[in-house]
Amino acid sequence: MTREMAELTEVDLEALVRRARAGDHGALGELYDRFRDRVARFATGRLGDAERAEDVTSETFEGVLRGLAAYRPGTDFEAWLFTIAHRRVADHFRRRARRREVELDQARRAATAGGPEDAVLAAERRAEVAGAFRRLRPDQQEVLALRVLGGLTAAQVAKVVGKSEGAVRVAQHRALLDLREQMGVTVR
Amino acid sequence: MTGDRDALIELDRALDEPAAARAAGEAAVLAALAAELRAAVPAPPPGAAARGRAALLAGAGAPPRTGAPRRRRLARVRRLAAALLLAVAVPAALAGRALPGTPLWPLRQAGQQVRLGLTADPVQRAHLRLNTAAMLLDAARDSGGYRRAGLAACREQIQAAMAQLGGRAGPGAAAERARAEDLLAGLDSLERSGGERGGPGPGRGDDRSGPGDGGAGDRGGGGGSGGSEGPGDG
Repeated sequence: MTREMAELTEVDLEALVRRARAGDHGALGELYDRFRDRVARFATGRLGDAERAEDVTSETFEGVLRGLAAYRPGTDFEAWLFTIAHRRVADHFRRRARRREVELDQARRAATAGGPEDAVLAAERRAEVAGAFRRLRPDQQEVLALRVLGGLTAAQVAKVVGKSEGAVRVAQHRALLDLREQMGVTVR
Repeated sequence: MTGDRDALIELDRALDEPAAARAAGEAAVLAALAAELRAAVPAPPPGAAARGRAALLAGAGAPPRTGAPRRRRLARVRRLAAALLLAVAVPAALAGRALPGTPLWPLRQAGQQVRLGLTADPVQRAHLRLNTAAMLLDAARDSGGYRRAGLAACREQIQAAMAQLGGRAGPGAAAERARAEDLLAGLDSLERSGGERGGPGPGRGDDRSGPGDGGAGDRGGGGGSGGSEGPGDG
């Protein structure tokens, strides 16, 4: 994406947010369509559970709906959105800890489902990556989930997690190195 | 930590634009791993997006949730409305009981003028004036402090009502004329007796209902109803 295109998209996004704030349901729907998958991917990566990830995704957009009036135009909407998602994920972890539930990695189970040989190999590979990701430290999972699954820039991740952009770059690098190590240095 | 600033930036760039990245070495490997991680996350359940969208828009269509600024605005509007209500209603209510010589009497007169101005029927106008006359007569009986001014105003009201009734025929006009005569007799009696306090007299009590009007309403809401208009009215 060129810089001009990125700026144009930013302008479009700002206009969309302004319309949604003014009560335009069409604009709100567009915002949902635009970011829903990224939020869901981030939540799935963090929770390892598609069902709970759906809950978090819904809660995130409910939070957007409630908070739009307080959102300050001109600030980074994506960072704001993912900050809400980040908090909802944290809430889920707290609730999960209270219930002392055994973590169920549905991503891994789904990835190892049966199929033709190539598909099985690919599924095994995805399961391996998902398993290695689950073994990373929570803060590393958070940074990679926001950066890779949520599609935020390093600057946006920095706003969400309250670190400097440089610290995020270091953290994502370290996390990917650890991920590779977890996989037994078998990166293809 | 590798600590290599260039490596960090190269990896960051590769993560930003994986398809266009020309990363090499470690950055390329790590970016590829990130792409695998992206692919490892299962797709959302079928229909989840549509359900979520519908739920979101349904929530947006519900009565607006009041955020703090909105709540504050509403509270301000309510306080202002309450203050206005107090500012208008309290003097009006007090004016409804105002007597000649009191500070609120002019307000009551103004209210009565408005009410009379809205009433085209002469019989109804006479009825409103007689309501005021009856109130003044009652007050003159009960309170000596305003008696003199009250009695004078009462007489004015009765005379204005009789002038408005003139030679009009009909049961409504006849009833109002009889009521005016009763009030006048009561007024004369009170003036003669020196205004002793006493039982019900003419113009007091049940004789206040009249054409198209509720007696109690007229009396209770006298601040805006009865007629103490100036000379020349009618």
